[in-house]
Amino acid sequence: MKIIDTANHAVAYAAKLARVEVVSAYPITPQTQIIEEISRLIDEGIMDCEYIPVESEHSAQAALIGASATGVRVFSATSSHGLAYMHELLHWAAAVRLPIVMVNVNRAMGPGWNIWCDHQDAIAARDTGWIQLYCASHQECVDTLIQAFRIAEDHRVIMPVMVNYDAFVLSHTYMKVEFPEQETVDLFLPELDPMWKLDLDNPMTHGSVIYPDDYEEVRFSMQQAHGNARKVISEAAAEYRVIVGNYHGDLTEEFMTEDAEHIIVAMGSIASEAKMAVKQLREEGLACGVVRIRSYRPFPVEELQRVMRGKRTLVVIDRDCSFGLEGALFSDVKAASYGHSDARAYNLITGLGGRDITYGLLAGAVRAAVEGKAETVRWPALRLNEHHLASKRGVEAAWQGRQKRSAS
Amino acid sequence: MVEIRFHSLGGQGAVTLIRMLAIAGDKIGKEVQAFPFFGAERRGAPVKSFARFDDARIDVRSQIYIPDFLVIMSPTLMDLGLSEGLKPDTVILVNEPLEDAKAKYKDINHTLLSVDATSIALELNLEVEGMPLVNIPVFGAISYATDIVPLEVVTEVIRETMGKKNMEVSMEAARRGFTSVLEVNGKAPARRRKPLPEVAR
Amino acid sequence: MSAKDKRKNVKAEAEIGFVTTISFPSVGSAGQTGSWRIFKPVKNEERCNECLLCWIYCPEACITKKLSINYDYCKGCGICAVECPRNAIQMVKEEKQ
Repeated sequence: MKIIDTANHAVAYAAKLARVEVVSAYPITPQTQIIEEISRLIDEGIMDCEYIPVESEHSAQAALIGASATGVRVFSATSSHGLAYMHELLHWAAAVRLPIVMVNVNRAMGPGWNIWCDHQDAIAARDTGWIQLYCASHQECVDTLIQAFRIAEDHRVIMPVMVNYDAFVLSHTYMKVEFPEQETVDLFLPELDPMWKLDLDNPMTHGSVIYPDDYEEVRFSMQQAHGNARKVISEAAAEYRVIVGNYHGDLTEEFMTEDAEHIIVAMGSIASEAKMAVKQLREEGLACGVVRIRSYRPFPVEELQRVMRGKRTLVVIDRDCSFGLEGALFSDVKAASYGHSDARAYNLITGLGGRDITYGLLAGAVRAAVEGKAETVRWPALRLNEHHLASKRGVEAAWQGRQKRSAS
Repeated sequence: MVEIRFHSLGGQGAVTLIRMLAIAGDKIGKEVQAFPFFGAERRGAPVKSFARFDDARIDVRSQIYIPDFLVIMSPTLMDLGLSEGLKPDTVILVNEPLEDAKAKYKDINHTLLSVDATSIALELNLEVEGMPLVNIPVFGAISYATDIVPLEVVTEVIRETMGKKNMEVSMEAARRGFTSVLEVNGKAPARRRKPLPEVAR
Repeated sequence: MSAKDKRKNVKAEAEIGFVTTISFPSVGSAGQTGSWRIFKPVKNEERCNECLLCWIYCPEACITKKLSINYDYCKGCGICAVECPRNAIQMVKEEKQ
């Protein structure tokens, strides 16, 4: 079946194809369309699934943890402040090892109140133990969501998976999506076979107190699961290619990297825009390529080491900022390629809060880096506009008013 | 690739329009992409929307700064539309009666086409809470002006996507939009424009 | 980024300083929003009994307590016309400029 629709609606239909059994979610722009569509499908009897309405994202994740522990396939979707609000339970879901799959539509954190795209929300949830996958097209959102259940439920992994895609750029944009047949999906994604589940005949508890003597091993096991997930993600992508026919890369997608001297690394839709920049730069005689990170956690360490060997320049585009240091992805890429590459490394922090980034701007910034004219960390789209100046003038006036009052 | 930028007011139905345009583009075998710039949705506030058509997969994700076609769905948005970027051969389609457009836009050097979509919508009682639904007649006019999607495909998409209540009247509105495109700064009636080849920016 | 913004980009990194989310009340920071209007609300003095519902409901504070309409900023949303219990406000197509 082929449709022209938003990524949000496409993902709702993909959740149906994955035979999700319990959904619990709280609406938040730009994710709301997903759960609206799922609740419509359930209401009209098209989708056989329990929908648990909740009063907050914290409860949504809690309900998923409860449902998942009974051994059923669960799904949710959230964004930005919703993800932040359930942060405590993100740790919970990962540490108790539940194969929950959740979509996070990447949206900037407020204030300034902003519904548009950047990756700050997911980056802030980076160290919770969740596997984080990033998509760059509508088709990839659908295919990745179906694969995410396979990855999460694999007995070598058993970890929650967060499927990320960009607010509005993908979530509300109409593009073509093709869906595999239900039988094809069933072939790729068999019924959930949980390693453990709550069972009246075989009582157990989970998530209990663990003393210092026992705790570290539990965390090491999570780290091991992420190590295994590297293999499982690649296997899932390969098998999906055979059964369904679509392929978007393993942990990374590489674009014109083989003969490249300069590598751009990015995640999400801006990596798609970066491909256009590469085409333009190649026409201008610069041998550039793109590595798009599909799996941010586990991080594609070996892939980056291989690609970066012998390269001259590394430009990492971050749609986030780890305040006080640099872009989070930049740090990670440098750490992964340490000792394997002598490339000069540059960071572009841009596209925050939905700032529209054209491939022309990216190409210019990459060219400056290649020519050694850029600072290590640059914010190439910055501008001081009338709104900033009005705010600055107001703050200045308020400050002077306070000074005057305290003097008199 | 052919790129179209739309300037409309909240409530005129531009999002529905670009969605139907994308479906129509897909029907004739094009790769399509259509998206609005969502802000705080307010009735009457200016909205920008974008549509891309290409034979190859579309990797661009940014907004459209130099469109092949510029569609102005309310005359009040002409200045805004012009200030947001054009190429020398951008074709502009404005929802405004021909005489008004002729009087107002003497200094526009681009090919300028007019369609009085508001009157068409009002004549056919295509209204939502007092606001004329100009998107359907504009849909027909775009079909004529850009020659990307034929009128048959436009009416087919309307038949498939509109509710029963408004379907017939909408198809009529699209037909009237198609036949009502006039050239403002040339000799009426307007010539049809073939879509332009590969865009460089 | 438009060409206009590109010019503004020059040295912005050096000049940003204390830019925050604090904003201050001002009239017309989005320009004269009356230009967005397609239909304008017109009051029928004879029908109006000065109940002030339109004053309460106008989301843009474009109707004063003395019931005069500020057409510089009224965007023609039509909420006043819908809320008026005596149909004293009619939405009339904006006259040609």
